[in-house]
Amino acid sequence: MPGKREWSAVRAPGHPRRGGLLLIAALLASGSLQAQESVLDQLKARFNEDQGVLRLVVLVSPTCPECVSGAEWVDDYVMKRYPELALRVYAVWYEMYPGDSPDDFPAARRLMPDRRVTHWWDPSKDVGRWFTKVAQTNLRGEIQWDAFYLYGEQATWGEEPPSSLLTWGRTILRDRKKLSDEIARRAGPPTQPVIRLAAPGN
Amino acid sequence: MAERRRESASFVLGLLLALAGNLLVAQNAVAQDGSQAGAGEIFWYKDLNEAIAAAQQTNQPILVDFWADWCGPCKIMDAEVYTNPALVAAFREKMIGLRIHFDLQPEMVRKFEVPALPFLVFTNSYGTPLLEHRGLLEAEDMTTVIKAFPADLTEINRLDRRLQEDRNHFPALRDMGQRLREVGFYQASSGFYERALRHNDARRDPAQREPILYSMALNSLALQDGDAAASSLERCLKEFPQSVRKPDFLLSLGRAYILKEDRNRAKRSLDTLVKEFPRTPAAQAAQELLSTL
Repeated sequence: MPGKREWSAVRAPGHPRRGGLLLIAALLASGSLQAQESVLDQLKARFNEDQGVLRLVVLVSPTCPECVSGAEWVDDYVMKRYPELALRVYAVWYEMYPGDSPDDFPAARRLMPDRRVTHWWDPSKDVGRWFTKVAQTNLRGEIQWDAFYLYGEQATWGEEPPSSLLTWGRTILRDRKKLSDEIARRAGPPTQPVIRLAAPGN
Repeated sequence: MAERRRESASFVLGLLLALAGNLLVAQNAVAQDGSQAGAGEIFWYKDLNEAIAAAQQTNQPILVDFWADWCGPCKIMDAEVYTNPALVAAFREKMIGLRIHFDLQPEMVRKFEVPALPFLVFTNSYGTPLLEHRGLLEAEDMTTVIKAFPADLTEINRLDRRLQEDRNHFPALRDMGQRLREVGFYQASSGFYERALRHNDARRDPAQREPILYSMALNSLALQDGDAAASSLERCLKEFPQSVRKPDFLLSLGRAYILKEDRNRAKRSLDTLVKEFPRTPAAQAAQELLSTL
């Protein structure tokens, strides 16, 4: 599963409950007991690993019509139009809209099938909570959603928000021109049409 | 005196009501005729049969736009797409517009298998889908699609009518696939070709089957669908190993594998072509592709 990352926790020696520790150590060694990193940590790690290319974070609900249309727009107007662009997209989905559920995640990820997109389901919504710190927002509430953030090639993500935020928007559709303009400024005019009606030499 | 004043007030009120009524009737009369929509506006029919009747008079295509009051992206299309002057001009010249409310016309939603909103279906003059788009389509792209439509759909409509009489009419299925491919509607073209391939005439006659299968492969290549293209081309090579089109099969197969990012198979296919048919134009194209791998 793209984006899935696991880590093992090891406790310091000399703990009074030695028997329990030994059991945990044995389970860890066998790989049976593994704690899963939070989606926020996974996203940060992946973001930093991909340094050197443009990176786009997309925060979306899987059933809100405007979010779904926003995700489709990113697929049509960024991924399809720039199939060779060195870009990584991190789509983080969580429940924000009445009726949203983890069951909607498989269908939602199919909205952006490009191999440059990594999808996460974030039950804690920590990613959305974290991104309210990134830019002044018109959002009422503590969780950012239906939003995008485009970062430059050199951006790194540590304790503070990444420095090189090229543009961001909320809602995705309302601010879509900011995204397409910034991508065109960096990558030039699109190389492919959104609807393929004719191909040269075909 | 007061009574007289009341009488004239009633008369003026009656006159105003009558005028308003006449205006309403006039407005509805205009609304029956798409060509009389206000300048800079698109006229939308609300009923499929009315739209079809209008389209058939001029052999024009129809754009079916599914929308709803609760659909935010549909409102964006209203405000930013359907008001674009270039789009409106192209639309009024070539298309018949039909707007379907998602909640109020469920039979249309079922008929066109609407997956989400916004949903756009470009059809021929009989309402047969030729091209679909899910999600917001920017004005520039919609204008491109509209301009790509043939000015006259007479031939496509004729074939469609034939297929409405007999949905398995082999020459009509084959010709419809060919005609749609010529005008760039690859997805719709392959749909008709697939139906033609299932027909007994195609099953029995390799001479009929081969060009259909190869055209489907070229449609898939045009749509950048490497998997479907490779599958059709492998079938061509297996079923028609002695075909005069074999160099073209191999070249297209190389292209399909490049799309699939399978360099080894692409190279194998192109090498075979260069080795077996060294003096063909296809071999020359293969050499060029090989130099990029």
